Amino acid sequence: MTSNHPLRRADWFPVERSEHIAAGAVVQSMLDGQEIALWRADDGRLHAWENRCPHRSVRLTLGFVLEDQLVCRYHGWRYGTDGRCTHVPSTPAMSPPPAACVKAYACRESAGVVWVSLAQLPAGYPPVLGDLEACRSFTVDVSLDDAAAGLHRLGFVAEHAVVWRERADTAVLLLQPLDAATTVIHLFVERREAVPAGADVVTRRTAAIARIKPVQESLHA
Amino acid sequence: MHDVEELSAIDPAIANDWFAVAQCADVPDGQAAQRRLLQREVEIRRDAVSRLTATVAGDAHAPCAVREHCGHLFVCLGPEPKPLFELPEFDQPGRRFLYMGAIGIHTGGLRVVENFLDMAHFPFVHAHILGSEDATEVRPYEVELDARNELWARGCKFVQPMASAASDGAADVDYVYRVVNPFSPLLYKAPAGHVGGSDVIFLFVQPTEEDQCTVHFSISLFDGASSASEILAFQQTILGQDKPILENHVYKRLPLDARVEVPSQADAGSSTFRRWLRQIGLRWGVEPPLDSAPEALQLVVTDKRALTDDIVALTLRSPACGPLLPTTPGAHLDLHLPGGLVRQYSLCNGGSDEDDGTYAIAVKREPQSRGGSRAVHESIRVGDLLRVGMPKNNFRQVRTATRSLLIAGGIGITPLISMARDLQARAQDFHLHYFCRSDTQVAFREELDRELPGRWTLHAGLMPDATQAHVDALLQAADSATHCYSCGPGPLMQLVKARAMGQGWPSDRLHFEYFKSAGPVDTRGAPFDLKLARSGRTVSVASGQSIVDVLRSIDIAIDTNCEQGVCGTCLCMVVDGTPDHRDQYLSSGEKASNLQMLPCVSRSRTPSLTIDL
Repeated sequence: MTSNHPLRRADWFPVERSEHIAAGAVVQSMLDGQEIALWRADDGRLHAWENRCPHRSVRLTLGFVLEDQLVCRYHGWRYGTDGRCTHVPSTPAMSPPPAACVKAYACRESAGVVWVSLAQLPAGYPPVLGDLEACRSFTVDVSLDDAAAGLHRLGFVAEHAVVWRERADTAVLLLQPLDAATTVIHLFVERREAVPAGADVVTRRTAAIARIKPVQESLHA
Repeated sequence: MHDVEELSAIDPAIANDWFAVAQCADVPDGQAAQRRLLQREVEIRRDAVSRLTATVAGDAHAPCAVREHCGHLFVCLGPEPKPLFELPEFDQPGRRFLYMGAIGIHTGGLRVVENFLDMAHFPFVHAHILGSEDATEVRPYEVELDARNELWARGCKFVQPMASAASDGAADVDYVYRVVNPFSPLLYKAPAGHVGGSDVIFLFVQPTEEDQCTVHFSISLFDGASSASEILAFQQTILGQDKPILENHVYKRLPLDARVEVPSQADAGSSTFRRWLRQIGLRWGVEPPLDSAPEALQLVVTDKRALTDDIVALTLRSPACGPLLPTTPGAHLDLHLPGGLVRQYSLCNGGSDEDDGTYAIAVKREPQSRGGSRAVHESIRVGDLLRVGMPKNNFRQVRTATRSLLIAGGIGITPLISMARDLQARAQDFHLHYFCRSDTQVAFREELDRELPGRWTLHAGLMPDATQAHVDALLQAADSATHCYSCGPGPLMQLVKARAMGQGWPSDRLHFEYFKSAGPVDTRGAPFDLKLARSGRTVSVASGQSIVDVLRSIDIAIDTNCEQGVCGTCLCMVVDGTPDHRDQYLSSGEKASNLQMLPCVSRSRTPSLTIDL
């Protein structure tokens, strides 16, 4: 899918909701078949790394955050925010090997969503969206292209390759390609100024979920 | 169902090896057991008079070799079984044999063997049992591949809070690891004060698929006090801690390509293990080699402006108009310039989210330039695409430092302004001292005044004596928590280093960034034999030749950059012998440890030197 498509690979994709990654947390996500370790340093800055320690290829999501470093669970190797190893506990007197460097992906937060690009030089920046309220996320067993085609068929409007809106209502769908045959659809509702914030959040969320249910069923079929 | 028909032949590298598939008691007289081995179904039978036979399913149920040894049933699928390993200790009177079970692990069997050979994970995976975070160092140990083709690691010592079920406190434990064939390791473990002899722990791996295995875990020991269930519980705890780690290798098959995983000195056992597997040409259960070129970026020059008469600043951006990879203060870029030159320039910005779209560098025109700075000044124009290596950092800030003294000379301001900006943003205590030959050669004056008011001092046009007095006073005034960072012309950094050492500063609080060697590198010296640990090759290095030159002459690739002993790109591990350090990259403590060296300039003090290549 996107991996054969250099332009698409340079794009930004939603991978997680910001609120799910507290300071000090490490969370696993997936984009285009690539496992990603999302972690937030104590200073609040978010990092998206290949989920693999360069020493023994163990998933970094097993590890933990130490201030502004990510520590691998297996041997305690520490990595700084630029992905480079800063400390090897088994040989504390030596400089860490310069080759020990985790691959870092570009990541940004926008509208309460974490966006990642797998390209070294991503195409621009993630789309700027209005104030969104998260409803739920669901997985469909179709490719990103098929999910997009399905949404188009059902009358949704693409504002961006992975941002789709209801024509007549407030639902916003963000598409995360997990791999070539699986897509996660993150459902949000737009918070409109006319509606007092928080007044009827549950009602609007429930209604949006009910409206989107046929979409889910149709994409599965 | 597994399709037996489509199977390829058993990898010849391991076809005639013996694999443990059960404990002896699993197949009583008159019964049979089925086991999976190397993607094949094997049936083992014991007749009424205890005679063992085994057959492989498919292929007309071909018979295969089966033997009882050291409490286990071993099977060999190949036509010419190798001799089984010898372990006379097993039959010593007073020993108990405890089989602790067959445990399925969803990872390649070679990963399990490496984990078994590894002490460095004890403090993290087996915290408070086999290690603790206050004693993480793995002391050097001896590894060899012996004449019988077994791997031995001797002299392995580790401080263990609770070395065994019988342990009553922390002990310095001696290990000897022995790998009798690629899937069959065991270890001799002698806790201090232990009477009678070593415990022998077996971790025989029955590889079922390339990425799955069953592990036969057993122990032969003299411990008369602990009950079988206590010992079992102890060992199950250990294996239970290893299992989730082992099942979370991104590559479940073992990568033998040295570029995939980066070892440390503590990995001497696994480095030798992998060398062994490469030697026998093992393919099954092994990750295929990478096909990748060194990474580089193409960036566009979006701004070029003069900071002084002889310094230009360049701003580089992504041609895709997006962000660039994050860097840390002190980082530099390798700039690939017209004419094939590669030069290193520190980033003056970096670290903050606000300017994530740019890399900023400043380049001084050097009259005695070998072409690099002239190319930047004369040939590069706004709009040009430049090839740039991934950012690197050999001049890191110590994040725990509470006070920093920054001493810049001339163009050496570039990494230090980036550090100062970061320290300012993090509200850390620091002062930047900027030594310049004259007032007209001050770069970034406006930025410094605007961003760092009161946090920087200019020292322009000082005579050498005055510079020395200033540096002395600055170093004297700093307290014992201060870290000093210096970048600038060689004489200034030599001055800072000499005065600081004279005042008793420890080398771990002194940090220098060298981009140009202090002088031409002298590669003369006594000739020596260079041994390459991974390939087993030996070559001689003559006076006037560098190790890197010699390696290239025999087609061994080694990444280099400055080839003047300053950038650290070629850093390699020393396995044996004493290097003659001639670089400016390693700290004096690192040099004294003799564990690593820079082969682009350093030589050997001993007639023979072995490096991990």
